[in-house]
Amino acid sequence: MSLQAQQAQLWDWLVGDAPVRDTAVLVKGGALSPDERVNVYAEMYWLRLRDVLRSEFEQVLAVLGDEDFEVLAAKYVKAQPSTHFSLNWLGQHLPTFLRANPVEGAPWLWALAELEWARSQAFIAEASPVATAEALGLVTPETAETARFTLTPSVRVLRHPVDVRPVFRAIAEGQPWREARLGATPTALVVFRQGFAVFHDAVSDAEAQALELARDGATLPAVCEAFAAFGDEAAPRAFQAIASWVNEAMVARVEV
Amino acid sequence: MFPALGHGVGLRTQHYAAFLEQSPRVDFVEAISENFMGLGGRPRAVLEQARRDRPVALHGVSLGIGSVEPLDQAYLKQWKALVDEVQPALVSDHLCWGRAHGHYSHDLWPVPYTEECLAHVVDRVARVQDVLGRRLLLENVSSYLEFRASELTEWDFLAEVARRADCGLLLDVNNVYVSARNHGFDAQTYLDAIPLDRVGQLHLAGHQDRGHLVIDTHEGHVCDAVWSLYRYAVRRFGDVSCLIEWDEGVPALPVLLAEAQKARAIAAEERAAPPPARAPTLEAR
Repeated sequence: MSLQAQQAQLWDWLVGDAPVRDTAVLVKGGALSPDERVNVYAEMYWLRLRDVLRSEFEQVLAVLGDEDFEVLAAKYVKAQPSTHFSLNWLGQHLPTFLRANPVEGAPWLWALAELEWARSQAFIAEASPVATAEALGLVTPETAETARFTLTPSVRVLRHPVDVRPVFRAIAEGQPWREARLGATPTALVVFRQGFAVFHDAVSDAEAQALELARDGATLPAVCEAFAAFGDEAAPRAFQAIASWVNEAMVARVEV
Repeated sequence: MFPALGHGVGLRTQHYAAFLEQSPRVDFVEAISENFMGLGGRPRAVLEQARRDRPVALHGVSLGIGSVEPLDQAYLKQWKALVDEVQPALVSDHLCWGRAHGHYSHDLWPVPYTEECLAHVVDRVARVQDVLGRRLLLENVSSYLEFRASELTEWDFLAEVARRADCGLLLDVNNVYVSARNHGFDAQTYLDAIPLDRVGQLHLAGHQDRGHLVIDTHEGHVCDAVWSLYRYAVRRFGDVSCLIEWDEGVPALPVLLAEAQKARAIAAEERAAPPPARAPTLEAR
């Protein structure tokens, strides 16, 4: 049997559900059967991935409890085997998976998972310079047309049909999450990092759109368009939002 | 051939605050490469702080040198970037496989010790060393199964990989013990077969002894039997960098540092003892 065939066989045994029938591959003998030896690895594979998901999604775990989280993790790992060399990325599809497979009684759980994932990604995002308030002075009537704001790599914008922040806060503070009142209105959140600390906050729909435009490299006039619905107030609101991004260390640099 | 860094500990999240704020006294630290590749934030700041105060070794877990899947080019690129930035004293990964169908198992599965696999691994080690521009240390893994197809012993396979690929070896003394117990071979015979000049680092760790099976858990203190084997390794390989791995139920840093101190004290005792007759290197046989 070639090395390729051996590894294909082992993979099916260790990761898939294939029973260990063809033991011609493995040495027999000792206190354990080939099945038992394979199961040592199969169990380790599962426990390692489950534990990573448990630590990555502590809030989802708190909502589901150990037993239901175990079921979710098993289904998820089967549906989305790891494609990245780092376990840091194992949970990247869990919010989408939960959205496609809603949990009875907590259909909003995908939003909580997305918030957790965004926060963990912000925590490990690449280091970046942070623009100071003085950098805003570069934006003058002459440079405004071409000015761009590069956001720091930690910034993430999330859009949810409900506001999961009360549940997040309750769990983070060790309170019963069922008593937290889930916000019933659609909510946009921005996740960002200051130093090593990760924050999230609600932003208006317009500001969320402006952040997305800035993230995608839009110029200042295009970013301001996100506030067009405010009429004459559009420009002041845009500049107020941009100033707050700078204050909260969300802007890496201002380019003119 | 490889720098002797002394006795170190793994850089683990539980001790990040200590490394950021207190600069604990330890000869060197070993960081898991994948935990820092392409990432920033606090983890990277901790690594930067740690390397300011002492040498760093980078230890990988996802290379999959024995996998038949093509080497992950994105992985190699990020690894190379990390190595270039950190300038570690030692760079290592495992002699194992763990990737198929484009998926990662995140585990260290043993390879069959065949000529086919040997040629495959040697070719890939050479390519990895070309990318990194430096010599790699390959670590022996603990194993719970053996392949009927194996034509070589594990120790001869390991030695031959090192010789043909011109790489170094990270000899995990605990893994040798675990596999020796699980497969019924003599651990000292294993160490005797490893060429002296290829060993660039040693690992020590705790394991779980279930009687009929020993599991490499990296949890708890190094047991007496592994300390004995470590003494034998020190007598054979001399002044080699040695690291305590403790990844499950990670203790307070002083406990971990005390384990490294114990390794240091044992090494000092053994080095002070009269030298034993040395087995020949592989090249000399």
